[in-house]
Amino acid sequence: MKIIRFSALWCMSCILMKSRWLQVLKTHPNLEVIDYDFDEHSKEVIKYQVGNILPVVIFVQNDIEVTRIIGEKSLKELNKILETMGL
Amino acid sequence: MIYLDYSATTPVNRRVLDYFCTVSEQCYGNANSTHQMGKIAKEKIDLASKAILKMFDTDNHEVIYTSGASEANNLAIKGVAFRKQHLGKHIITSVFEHPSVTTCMGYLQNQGYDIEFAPTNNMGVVDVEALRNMIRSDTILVSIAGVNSEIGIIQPINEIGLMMKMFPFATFHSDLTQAVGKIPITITNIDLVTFSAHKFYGLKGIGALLRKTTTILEPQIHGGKSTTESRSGTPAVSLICSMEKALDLAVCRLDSQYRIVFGLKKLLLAKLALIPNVVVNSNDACLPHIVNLSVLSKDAHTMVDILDRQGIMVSMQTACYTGSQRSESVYRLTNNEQRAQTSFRISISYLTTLLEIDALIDVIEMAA
Repeated sequence: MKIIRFSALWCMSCILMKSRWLQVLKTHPNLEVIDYDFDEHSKEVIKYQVGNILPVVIFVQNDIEVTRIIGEKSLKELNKILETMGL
Repeated sequence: MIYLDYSATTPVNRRVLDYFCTVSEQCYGNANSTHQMGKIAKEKIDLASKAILKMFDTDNHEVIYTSGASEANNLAIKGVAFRKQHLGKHIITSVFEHPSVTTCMGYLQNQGYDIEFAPTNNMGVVDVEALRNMIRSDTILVSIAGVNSEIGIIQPINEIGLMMKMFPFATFHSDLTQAVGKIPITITNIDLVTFSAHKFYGLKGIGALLRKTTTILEPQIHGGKSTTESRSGTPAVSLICSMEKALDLAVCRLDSQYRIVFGLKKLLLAKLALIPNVVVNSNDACLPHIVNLSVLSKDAHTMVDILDRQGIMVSMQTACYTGSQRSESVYRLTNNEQRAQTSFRISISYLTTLLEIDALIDVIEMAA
């Protein structure tokens, strides 16, 4: 499983969420993370149909999107989502 | 035309402009040159710096001239972060900062810095006790703006500065861009202070970072000593002098201008209170110069366009919502999506007239 994260330097929610993901990833070291910058990687933004709200985190398995998390979520919510996915 | 966007920028004061022209004509030397014209320019800058520091009532800060507040914020934040990275990478800021601060934080986070946001109360004011409890042995910087640019929330920077004295290893930076020339400021306990001349009837293209002499920064522009080791480049003598003039005029008239603006805001709020569908997002903890409001029946972009078509200029802010008009600051303050999507900023000045307020109210009444 890998996660593709879209964020922007100016986005406060992205800063908040990156800190929370840092904690989550400590307990999920097998998750591969690919980061894209919303302003720099326009090709990927279009490819993954990133909408108006940042950050966007897309879970991908075998090149197929499993789910995506949009906007801010608490640490508890993040852990619950991962738990639901059996991670 | 009715201009109600004074927090974005102000019209230049005629005396400031005249002084800029005089200095430009008379002191065209490069202050870094060792010849007579260079010395005259250097002396002019030194006098301006002394006057600026006197106005801030400090003798232990240096004035670093920049192109404006965004550059000054970048120099302050990255300058401290890079200089002190061997001591730690923990930085605390607030959710009500200008994008030039928030974006620096995003950039530093990508460089491995640990960025945290200080908790605020329901008025958007930083909880100083909670902030104190967040400071760790690896905290290198706390950056809290004196006044939020979108809603006008005033932060207790004196209290924060006093508290920060308990943590001499951490630098305290405050972006005072929306505060300077509008409210009295004490910077004794602030290590780094940012401001920009065009917010107080000065010219665009000049700002400053006041650096406490004990605070060392990693320069962001390299290229020689210039007037300071922290920022290279040929000093803009006439812009520097014009900023000193603008600051002098703003500080001298601060009380009287504040009273005018306070009265205008009171009147504006009273009139807005009578209009259905209008909610004021600014609160009692806010600067009188800024009134952030929502016309709930119209998204912010539509409302700003309606006002613009009637010759009334206000502004809106966007962040994080890449294609819509959601205000991050209003959302953080109110936790209300509708208010965040419909909010816009009216910023008034001592130049604002009662007729202008009436015209604004008429248009809002029609649109609401």
